[in-house]
Amino acid sequence: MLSPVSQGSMKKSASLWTAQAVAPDLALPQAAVDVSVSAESLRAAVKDAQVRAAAFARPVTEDLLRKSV
Amino acid sequence: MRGAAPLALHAFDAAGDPLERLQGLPQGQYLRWYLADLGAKSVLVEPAYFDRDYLSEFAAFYCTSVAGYENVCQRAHYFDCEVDRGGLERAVAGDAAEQKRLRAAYLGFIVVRPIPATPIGRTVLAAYPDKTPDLPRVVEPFRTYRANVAGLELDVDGIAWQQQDAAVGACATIALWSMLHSSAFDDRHVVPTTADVTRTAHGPGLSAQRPFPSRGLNLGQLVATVRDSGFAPLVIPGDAGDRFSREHFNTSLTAFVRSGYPAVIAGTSFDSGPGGREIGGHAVCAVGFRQASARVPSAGSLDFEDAETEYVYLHDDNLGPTARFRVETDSDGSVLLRASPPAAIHALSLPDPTKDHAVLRPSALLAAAHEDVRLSPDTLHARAVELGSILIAATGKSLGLSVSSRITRLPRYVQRELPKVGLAQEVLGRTRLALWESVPPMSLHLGVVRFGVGDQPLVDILFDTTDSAPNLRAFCHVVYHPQIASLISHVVAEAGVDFGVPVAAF
Repeated sequence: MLSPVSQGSMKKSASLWTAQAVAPDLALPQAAVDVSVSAESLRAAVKDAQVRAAAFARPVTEDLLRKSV
Repeated sequence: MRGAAPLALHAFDAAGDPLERLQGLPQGQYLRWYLADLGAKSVLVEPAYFDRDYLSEFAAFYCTSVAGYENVCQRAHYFDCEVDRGGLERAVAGDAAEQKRLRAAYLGFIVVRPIPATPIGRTVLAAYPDKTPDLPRVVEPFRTYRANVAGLELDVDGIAWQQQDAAVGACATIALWSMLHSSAFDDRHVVPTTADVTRTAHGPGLSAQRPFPSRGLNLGQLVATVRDSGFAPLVIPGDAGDRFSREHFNTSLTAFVRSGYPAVIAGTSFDSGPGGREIGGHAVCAVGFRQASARVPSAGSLDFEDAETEYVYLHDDNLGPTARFRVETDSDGSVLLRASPPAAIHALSLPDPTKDHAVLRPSALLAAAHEDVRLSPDTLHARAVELGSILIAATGKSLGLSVSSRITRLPRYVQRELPKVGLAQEVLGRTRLALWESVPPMSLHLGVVRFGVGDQPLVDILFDTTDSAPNLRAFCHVVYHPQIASLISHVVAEAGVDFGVPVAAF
């Protein structure tokens, strides 16, 4: 088994789109394997995530469309 | 009728090189610097070249001017080797070795229009060699242009650029024209000329101005032009009023470029000095970016892979093609783009063409997508945030994830992207068949959200691009790691989150 990945570190390497090989034996944190979070907590997480996601859904305003470039 | 004239060969940056007489223009200085860094040694000049774009400009405007403009251009081809008449004669006669030598040395071409004040027409030049392949320059929109000189075919990869003439095309016209040259559209259209772009932007109800001479466009006209040219306009406004935060700008722009879509950046120009004076509206075309280092995310965090992008490559009609700009932020955290060329390689004594070049503060991004694509990167990112956050929460925030997204064609995903992941042959075959046999019929273009740790992909989620945002659905998720498959299965069962059909790729 591989060593757990060192989180928070910088790694000079290819991107997610140019990885040469996936590592199916990549060691993930134990909690990622042993999922025991309740359904209620998950539903709360869904709501929190939707708040962060809303930042990506900004409308295109008429003022912006009138902006000269 | 114009008389015949021989092809001319000159040393680069010497008498006879068309660039030599363009030194009074910042674009001429930039092209001279750029070609010097590419190692240009010689130039082959076609003295009479009929350029489709200039002919269109000529028909729209210049032909009725009493100045008596000509309708014929020059085209200058640059090489990083010596080219003499004997070599040229051997190459056009079919000498394979000489043809190979010239093709390998080809750096691209510049069309020189017979307009004294704004002579630099359609220009395609090769990119600098990529010195950091670990962190590659991402130029997905580049296409191959083929020039033919007396039967000698010369290929160069890039995206066309030209100087605005302020008669048929303003900066926005040129940016849009470059954008529509993308390789993403190779299979479906003829690129509109600058005159076509300006004329379409002044269609009924779009402007009270006369189209020619062009006095610039607004963003709404650009959007309408994309639509009326047969494409789907995708607009991403700044997330801080008419400005962008770094994360929002980088993730949005890189998603476009990774999808093969160049993006027009509309914004405001400022003098480059401290407290720079506002100059006015400006538009450029982003054609690439430099991949940032892959960050292994901290436990509990969801990081956009491209959020820390430092350099983008812009076609700026006031400067030149594929100019490197640094992504900076001002004191409010708003993105500013500042010309930041790499250190000169050449030994010539040339002024830095980017010195004092204006700084651009982006307000909006505009890309042209295929007509069937109704999904914006913004919508894809919003869904990525939702799904990634839920996966992380399901692990009690012990897992951190990287995420990146793009729009791509289904055949390309299956044929080119899956093998890049490095699956074993048996797994690759099984995965491809599952996508055809176990997943409901998918759209031609897919929205792909890829989650991973650092540069290690864990799962791709494939979205329908043909529906509205509220109806956005996942076709399937292709999962590369057995533990992530279990995690997603748990989340789907407990919270009813849509990940689509599971496809095991491990």
